[in-house]
Amino acid sequence: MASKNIENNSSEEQAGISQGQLIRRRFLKHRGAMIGLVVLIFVIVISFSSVGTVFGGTGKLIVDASGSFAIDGFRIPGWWKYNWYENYDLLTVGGTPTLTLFPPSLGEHPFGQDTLGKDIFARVMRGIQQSLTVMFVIGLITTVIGVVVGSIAGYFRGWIDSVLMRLTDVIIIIPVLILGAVVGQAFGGGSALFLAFFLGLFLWTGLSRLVRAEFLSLREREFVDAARVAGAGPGRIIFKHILPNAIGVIIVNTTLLMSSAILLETSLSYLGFGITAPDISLGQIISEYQEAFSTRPWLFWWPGFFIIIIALAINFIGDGLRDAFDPRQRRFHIATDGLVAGFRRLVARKGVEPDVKK
Amino acid sequence: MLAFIVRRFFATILVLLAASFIVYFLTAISGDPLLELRGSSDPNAQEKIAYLTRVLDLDTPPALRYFKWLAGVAGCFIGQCDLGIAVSRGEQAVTEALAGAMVSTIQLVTLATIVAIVLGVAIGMSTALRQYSGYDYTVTFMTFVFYSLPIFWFAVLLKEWGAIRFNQFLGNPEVPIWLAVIIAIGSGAAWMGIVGGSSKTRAKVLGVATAVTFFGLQALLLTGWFEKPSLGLVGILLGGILVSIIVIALTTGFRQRGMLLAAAAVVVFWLAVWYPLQFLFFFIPELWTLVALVALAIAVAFIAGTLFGGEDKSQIIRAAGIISILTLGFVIVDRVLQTWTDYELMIPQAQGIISTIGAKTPNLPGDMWFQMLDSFGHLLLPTIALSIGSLAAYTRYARSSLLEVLNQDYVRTARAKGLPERTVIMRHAFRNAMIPIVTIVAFDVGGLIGGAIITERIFAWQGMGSLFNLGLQAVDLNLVMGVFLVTGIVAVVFNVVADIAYAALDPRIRLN
Repeated sequence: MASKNIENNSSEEQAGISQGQLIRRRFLKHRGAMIGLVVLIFVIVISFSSVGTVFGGTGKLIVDASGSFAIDGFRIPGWWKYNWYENYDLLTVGGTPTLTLFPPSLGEHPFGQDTLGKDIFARVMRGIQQSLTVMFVIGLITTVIGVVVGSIAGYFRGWIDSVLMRLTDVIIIIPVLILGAVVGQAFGGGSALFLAFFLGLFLWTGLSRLVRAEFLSLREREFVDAARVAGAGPGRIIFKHILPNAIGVIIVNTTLLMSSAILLETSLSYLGFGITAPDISLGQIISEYQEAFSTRPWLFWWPGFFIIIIALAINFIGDGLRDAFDPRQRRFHIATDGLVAGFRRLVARKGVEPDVKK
Repeated sequence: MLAFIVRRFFATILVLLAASFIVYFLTAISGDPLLELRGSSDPNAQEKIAYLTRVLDLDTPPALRYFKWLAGVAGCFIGQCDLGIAVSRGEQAVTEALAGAMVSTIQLVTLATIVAIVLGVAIGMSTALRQYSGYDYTVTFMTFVFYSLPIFWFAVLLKEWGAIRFNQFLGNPEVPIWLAVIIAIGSGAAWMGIVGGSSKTRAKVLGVATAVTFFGLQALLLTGWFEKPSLGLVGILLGGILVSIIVIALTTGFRQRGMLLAAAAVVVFWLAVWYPLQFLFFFIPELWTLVALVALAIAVAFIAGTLFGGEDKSQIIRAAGIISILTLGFVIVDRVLQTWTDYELMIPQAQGIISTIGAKTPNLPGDMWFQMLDSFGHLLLPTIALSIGSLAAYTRYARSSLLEVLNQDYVRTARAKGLPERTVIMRHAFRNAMIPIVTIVAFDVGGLIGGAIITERIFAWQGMGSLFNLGLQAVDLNLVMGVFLVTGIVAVVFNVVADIAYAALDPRIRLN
């Protein structure tokens, strides 16, 4: 990969710029990715700072002796005056949104209220928190498992590879919906962290195949032979020599996986198998309010809007990362072109070996 | 090759066994199938619990029960499938429930896949040919949006705008003038982007397409076409000319006189037999009539191609065949649209032509043409919802695949020896660009069978997805396992198909 980068970027090549700096510079120049990054950070900051969050505890709604609601766990308050679990008085007829652009003003309930008087802004913000948490945890766990399985299979080959890849085949055909049902019904459900952890245990298969394919080709390179001759053990070769060269594939695919993870979580919650009431996620909000579309469209627009915004921002970031890591595709400009190369690598698993001599 | 398939077959069986065990176990621990009965105040509850415990063998631990279930599945090899009974569906046999559900799911998935492939490849490849243009950037951005679209959210919008509002529009077709202008300019801009060329050509295309769209729309509104849509001879003629232009532009080009004559002959043939065909359609509205007509379409194309083909006979016969079948399609659409008014009277008043519930109107009387219109009205929205994601994916794959191929040496060679651009694209680039797409589609279809869960739920289809959903909600192990068996087999079979297709299409890949 290193040699390709140098070949194709002679115009950018300057003395004293490292590989990492080159990649960072290319990423920072990618307009779509930068916009995506800014939007994503904005969404993260506003969702966590506005209604605060809850750490630990069961996260369940509890009613104390005086009849007021609270959330079990350590609650950090935010700057927004309402929370996502209490009912308030309806301030406008039907709870219409008070957000206005001219003049710019939030008003009392910028995203409106539902029939019970719950503040939709607070609910959507809490939903974003949960969905983002699920997304990042899934990203983290799948990356760890996918990289470990993929690199061991790709580096050692032989029977280890066969066993691990058959295991991958098994896991890949287990329907995700069942996992949601197990978490929801058997373990009481609710907790976003637990759901994400469990889903992550089953979603690493795609990444592990890609990492394995990458390792299969990288392990035949001279620098690996050199390390082996110099007496490096498998662990050192895998982590110090091969993995840094495969980091592009890993980062890009993790990003794309995260954008599908947020869609997965919202879909599961929509079907009632993910995060369920009284806890909130963006999908759960839509599922709860979908019948109200014709009478109270704002209950429906806002959560959907934020799902799209988050998924879109992450897709654009992934796009920029792919451009940055694989400048060969620069001449096609839009980085989706890496998909075919990625797919060819994906096919390059047990049974079908691309026998392409370049 | 054979050795590869045999080895894959055994590996596949092992994988399915392991996965089905995990699924069985997970579903079993996901809940208590008797939960509802335990809490019920029904005096017979105890009896029912005892009955179900016996029927479902609930006293046996799940790990052992799995093998009993497996023995029932093994019966399939000797023609006696026993997948158990689905308690959540009134103790219907699972095989029966699956048979019913499979029909509607396959219908939906097949149509969605075809739509996604045809549109995705066409759009993706056209953007690759217009790389870096405004059209390219717009389409790329749209694919990103479609990719990020939660299907359950999009489907609710579809229901509102695609069904309720659209049916209202059909009941009272009026397009305000500002909207007509916007639609016309949008269509003009789209055509401008697709056709491309110099700034003069682009301006011309923009003007013509805008005017045609605007006045066409006004004409349709004035003649009351939306109240009673029909094609008639004029529609079939226009449709025939349109497909001829597209097919000729993509295959032989307009310089080829024989091709023009053959296309004209084929279209004229269908116009000539249109009137007699109406009697055939009226008296024999059967599926095999359509099959026979497709055969006739091919025969006509063959004769026309042989007569006018000259040296390029085989190519012209092929192109004329496509034109012939598509024109036949217009004849059939025309026949189906003739039932429009009667159909509107037959369906419930609140409903409209575009339906959002189920796969068909229950107890609808009428012949095949009614049923076809009914199916269309029911399939339209779920198909859009289901295909939008794959459409975005195929567009991106097709675009990048064609771009990759266009950078290959053999394409440069083809250009260098002076071949026309059409031949370079369609013969040398397009075919090679399709190789990865074919395999991606094969992978995708395997997943799609079970992936229609959300679409089926929103549009109330009784398909595999809704069975699966029902089974999970009610912890109905037999039902869940039945659906998993079908979707799992389809998924692994299509995986093998993808591998073989890849090797068959690209000789550089070897199977071993």
